[in-house]
Amino acid sequence: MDQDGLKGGPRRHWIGAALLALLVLLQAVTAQAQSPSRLADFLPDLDPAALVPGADAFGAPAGEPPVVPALAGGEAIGQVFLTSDIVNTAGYSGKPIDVVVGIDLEGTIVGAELVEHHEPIVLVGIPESDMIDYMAAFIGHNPLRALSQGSGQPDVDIVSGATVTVLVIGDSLNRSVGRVTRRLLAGDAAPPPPSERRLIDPEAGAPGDWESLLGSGAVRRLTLTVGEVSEAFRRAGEAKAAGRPESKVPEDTFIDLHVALVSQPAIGRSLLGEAGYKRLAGRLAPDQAAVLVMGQGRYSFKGSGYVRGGVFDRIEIAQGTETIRFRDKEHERIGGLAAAGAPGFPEIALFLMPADAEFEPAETWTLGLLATRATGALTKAFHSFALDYRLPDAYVRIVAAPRPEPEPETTAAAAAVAAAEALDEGPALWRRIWESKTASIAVLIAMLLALTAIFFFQDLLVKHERLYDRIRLVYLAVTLFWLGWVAQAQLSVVNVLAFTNALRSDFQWSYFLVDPLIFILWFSVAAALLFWGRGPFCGWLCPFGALQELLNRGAKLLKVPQVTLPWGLHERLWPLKYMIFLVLFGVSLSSLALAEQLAEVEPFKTAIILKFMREWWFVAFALALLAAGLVIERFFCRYLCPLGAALALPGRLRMFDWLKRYRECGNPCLRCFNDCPVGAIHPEGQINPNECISCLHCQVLYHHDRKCPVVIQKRLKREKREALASPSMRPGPAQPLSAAASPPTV
Amino acid sequence: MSDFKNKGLGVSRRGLLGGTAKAAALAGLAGGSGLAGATLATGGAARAAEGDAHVPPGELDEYYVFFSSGQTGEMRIMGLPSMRELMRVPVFNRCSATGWGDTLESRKILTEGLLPETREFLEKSGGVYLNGDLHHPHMSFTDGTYDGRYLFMNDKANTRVARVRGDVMKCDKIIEIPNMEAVHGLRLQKFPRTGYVFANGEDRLPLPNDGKILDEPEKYVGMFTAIDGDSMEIAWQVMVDGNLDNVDADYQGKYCFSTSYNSEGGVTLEEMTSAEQDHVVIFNIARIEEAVQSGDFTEMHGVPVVDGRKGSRYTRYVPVPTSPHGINTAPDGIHVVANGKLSPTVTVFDVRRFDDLFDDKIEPRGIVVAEPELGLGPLHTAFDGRGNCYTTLFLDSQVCKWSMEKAIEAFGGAEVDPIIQKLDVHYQPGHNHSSMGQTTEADGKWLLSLNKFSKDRFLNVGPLKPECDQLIDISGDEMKIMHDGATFAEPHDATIIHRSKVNPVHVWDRNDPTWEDARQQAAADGVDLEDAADVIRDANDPSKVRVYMTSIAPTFSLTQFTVKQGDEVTVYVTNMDDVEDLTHGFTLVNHGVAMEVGPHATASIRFVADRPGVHWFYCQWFCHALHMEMKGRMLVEPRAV
Repeated sequence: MDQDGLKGGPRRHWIGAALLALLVLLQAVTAQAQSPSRLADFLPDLDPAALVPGADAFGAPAGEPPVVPALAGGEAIGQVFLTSDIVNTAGYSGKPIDVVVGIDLEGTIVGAELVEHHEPIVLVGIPESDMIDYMAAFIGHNPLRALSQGSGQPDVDIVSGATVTVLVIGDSLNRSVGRVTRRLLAGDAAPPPPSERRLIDPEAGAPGDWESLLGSGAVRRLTLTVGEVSEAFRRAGEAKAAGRPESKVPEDTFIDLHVALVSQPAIGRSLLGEAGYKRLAGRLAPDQAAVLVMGQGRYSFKGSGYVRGGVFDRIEIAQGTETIRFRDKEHERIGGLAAAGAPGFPEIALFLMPADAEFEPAETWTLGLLATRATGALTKAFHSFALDYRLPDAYVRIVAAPRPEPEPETTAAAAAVAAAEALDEGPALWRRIWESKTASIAVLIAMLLALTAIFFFQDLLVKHERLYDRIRLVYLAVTLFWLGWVAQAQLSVVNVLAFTNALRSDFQWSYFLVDPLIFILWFSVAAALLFWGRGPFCGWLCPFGALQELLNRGAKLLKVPQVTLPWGLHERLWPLKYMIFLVLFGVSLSSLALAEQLAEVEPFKTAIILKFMREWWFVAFALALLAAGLVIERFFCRYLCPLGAALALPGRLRMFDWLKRYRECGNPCLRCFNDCPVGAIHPEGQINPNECISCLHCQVLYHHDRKCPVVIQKRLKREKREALASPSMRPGPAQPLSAAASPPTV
Repeated sequence: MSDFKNKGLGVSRRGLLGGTAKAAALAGLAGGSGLAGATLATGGAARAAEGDAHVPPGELDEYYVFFSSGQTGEMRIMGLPSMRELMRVPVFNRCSATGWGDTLESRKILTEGLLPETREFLEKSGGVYLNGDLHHPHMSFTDGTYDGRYLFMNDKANTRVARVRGDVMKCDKIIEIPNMEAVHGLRLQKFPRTGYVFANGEDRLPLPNDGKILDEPEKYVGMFTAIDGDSMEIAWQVMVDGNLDNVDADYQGKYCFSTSYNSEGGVTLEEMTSAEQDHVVIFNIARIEEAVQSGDFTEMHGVPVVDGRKGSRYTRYVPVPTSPHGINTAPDGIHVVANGKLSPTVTVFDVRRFDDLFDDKIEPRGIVVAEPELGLGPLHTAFDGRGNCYTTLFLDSQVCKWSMEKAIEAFGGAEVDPIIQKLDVHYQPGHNHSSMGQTTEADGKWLLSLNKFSKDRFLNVGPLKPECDQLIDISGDEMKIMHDGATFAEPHDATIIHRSKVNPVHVWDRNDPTWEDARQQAAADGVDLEDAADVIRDANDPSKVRVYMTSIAPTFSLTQFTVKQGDEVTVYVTNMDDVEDLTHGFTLVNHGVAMEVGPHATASIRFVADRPGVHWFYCQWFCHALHMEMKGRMLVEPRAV
């Protein structure tokens, strides 16, 4: 024993280290493999606490595009996502400006990191730190709250020269946080969808002159004097900008800005003329909007800076949390207005709404004007003014709003949540699921009944070694092929973790009722645990267990030499699975998602659910375990299976002990000890219920008059007796004594 | 700025590129009400002031502008302030109107200055380059101002320098520069006269560039060239480190200086912009001339090449922020401004300190007297002669007006803002130029901003849009845009010269050397060019035929001539019309043959008469009420079977 211990110690240590390394590796690779979003590429280099203060870990990505919970002690205290996953963040370079954002549970921005960009502006004079400073101003900003309170984006110092870059960053922060928050709070804190929608009525209205357009509100106007703008700068604390007016005369017009929705045909025809509108209509995609912006005065709403990146940085259209900024390709300069009486604006710009904009043209929107004044060589001050536009009722038709379609969710967790949400609305869903799976349920129940019968009639069955062996072989094959690969009903330690997690939070039967087979299996396993311990599941209903056992049988047929670990080592490897389970359980208390990733130590998903159609490293891991199982039967069950460990613990409570033993078992006979396929029998003779898989092998032996020395003795006595009687009374041909008397070998 | 001052050469990229509000606040900006933001110039203000730039019909412009045309390859002459295009002078291009590139006279100019290997190379493709990339036209100087003799210009595409005669406004010399590839910067010696034409070799090459060294950039060298503007021969070359960009010269005749990027010696964008600083290379003309005298040079392609790489006594390398672009000498004769391009700064040198620099009495940065931050993408600076500078800010699409004096004070630590005004221009300016601004006679009236994009400034003409050259009135306190000029590809530079400096002739002198070959051939053939109507078959080679004629509206002196199919025919036409401004032409239909024949000029063109039958020739340059009838026939006898 001591020797074994000495040998076993370092080896066990090594195995433990390897397992740990494997777990870490698995965690790393699953993080990458599960998500096509680039968020996963950035997360490993990011500090959770930097994105969501107080967080110590990232959870599993959920939803599509993925959002990752930021965890503190296992509790989600915020969410993290990549802006480019949610909204278009193309900057000057046309390539995305990738910012990873952290929000708290209320949707307030609590952290943001610029992880990648290709903005050439940095090459020519704006250090990255300025962009970071800019983003810092968004900390504490809650786009949805700001929306409901009517305050806009935070008052941020715009980096001169990098205007577009930072505006894109700002917009993308605002919009992506808005969208994500809405998604996360869906049905909850988000405002109810409007019951009706305002849509452009293409038939409404007739072409009119400038005065009527202005009078009806089809054209909206904002007029500012140089003095008013100076005053606005002064109030904003921009004294330097206030002191640098565009004109020395404060009454001079800073801008006389007009805007109209020209994709409405009557307005479009009025302002652009028949031919102009026709040309525009030809360019517009269905439902694409176009606005006409007209300006005169000292200040241009276009400026000259937009040519650098092709993004107009002095105007934007805002609606809700959406901000739309135009690129030069969406702009066309118009020479003059067709409407009679229209002023001769020196600047008339037609803008087509970008294709990816979420824009409801007939709902209220705002044309934002960014007033810019240079305050130094490289510095500018900015102040924004708003011009609200609401398409007059005369051009609008109102329709009942359809229920918004839920965004497609792809991950399993999200699907479960969705299912759970759906279940909350009534029993219909889970019932429908059960009804649709009647056949499978029937087969499973038949299997369970058969298993119960096997256990009830075990004493009878085990006397017929060959019959029993065939029954077990068939049963295992059904378990593997039908229950596992067809019905996918492989229980997992994750179920245990989820269950205990649910018990701690809000337990709902509905969640577990969604999958009838798993539910029934668990129900029966729970019952079997109380009756007989872990065996009925591990030895009969576990598809991976069946796979291991069947493969090992094949290996034995092919004369693959079997390895018997020294008892001392074997005994000390048992606790490994308990350790694994306890680690998983402990992790699940803080992060169920992380525990789920760690639970990949179970090859069930790879081997059974996904049928080995997976990344090579998962497959290699599963195959390695199966290979070990070829020389050490049920290697995984014996030493590693956390589910087995989880079942073994309550299995102690079992009520029945139907496995019969003789007094001689282990004293001195070691036949069963040597033959037990999982080494669950101690050399002292007692069966360890924590390890026993209820294969009933020992019970076959128990009754075997050629293998069990006790029965052999009985038989020999009987035969001796019978030998003294008349030969015609003998039940069958006599066996040569030598064979029966030979000592048991392995 | 303060980085330089405090740390000498410890230039930090952060400090140089720091375009932040904070950085600029540190630069000490006093709130000056004169800085009138970025004002809109599309509106009424410009329209109202239009009268100032308007030149009524029949009135003359005050200034000539000699425009480059970039990849079009010609030089353009415009009148300023009307911005009317007056003339196009074909130089590196092939011109359909004048036959430039086809006439014997132009082909001689286009080929005689080429390197022998280039001539050989071109034999397979018609004998002449058909394209050129004309960047920088500059007029010759005497005593620091324009003298009207010549204009010099470079061809970036095919490494050539051309000269246009100021008297007839025709190109008379084109030479190819050996030992370098792509001439970029080109400026002239200002004092005592031109003198030298300085040409920057932009791209670095292995020498000799014969294929023995290929992908070994560390063996490449840059080259600076001085051409004798009178003889159009290469005086000397200087081997340098880095890629030379733009060049200018002082008003003392002692130094010229080039901005130099890619001090890294890289061959990709990343490699070329990796270093935090590049250089301005200063050339000591007297020392280089001495070296050529004393034999301290290597002869390459027949040119004395002096080694001016780092450490040489012929040059000094002054560190400036990375990738400087334009370099401009102020009319005060003292200050030189190197424009930062990738840095928001310009660096100002004092030429009076250059002697000490070459005598190693001061460190290279010791010649810097100011380095103001102006905005993003400073490319070129022009001057008004009143101490103000006008720098184009490419990225900001602005022109920045700033005070040299205040910039120097600020460099000295004073809390002053050198910036006077920033003006939006449309869009993205490259070069700019002020009236007479590159001479001691800068008059501060006009500024041209050569903007690279017009975007929406003009009626849309399709995806290819013109550039937009804007005329800005700088005579007052505030810059005002007066005119938008659409220009076709792609003026890089322009020189604004007062009309008093330019005095071209009206009629060619019959003794002009341009047609010297024709004159000698006519003499050999016994023909009087000015009274010719002759068809001469060459005695030695009977397949060669020379046709001499004169043109007096509305007739050619020959109304028909006969040749044999396959004859190589040379037509000499002398315009003997005695009326000023009466240009004739000679176009032979269906032969691709056409040329301009200026008043009292002789022009000649050669072709093979390979199409039997009757072919008409006509005058394509309108000359007379009977212009349509000014024609004749070429009768081509079929080749004997």
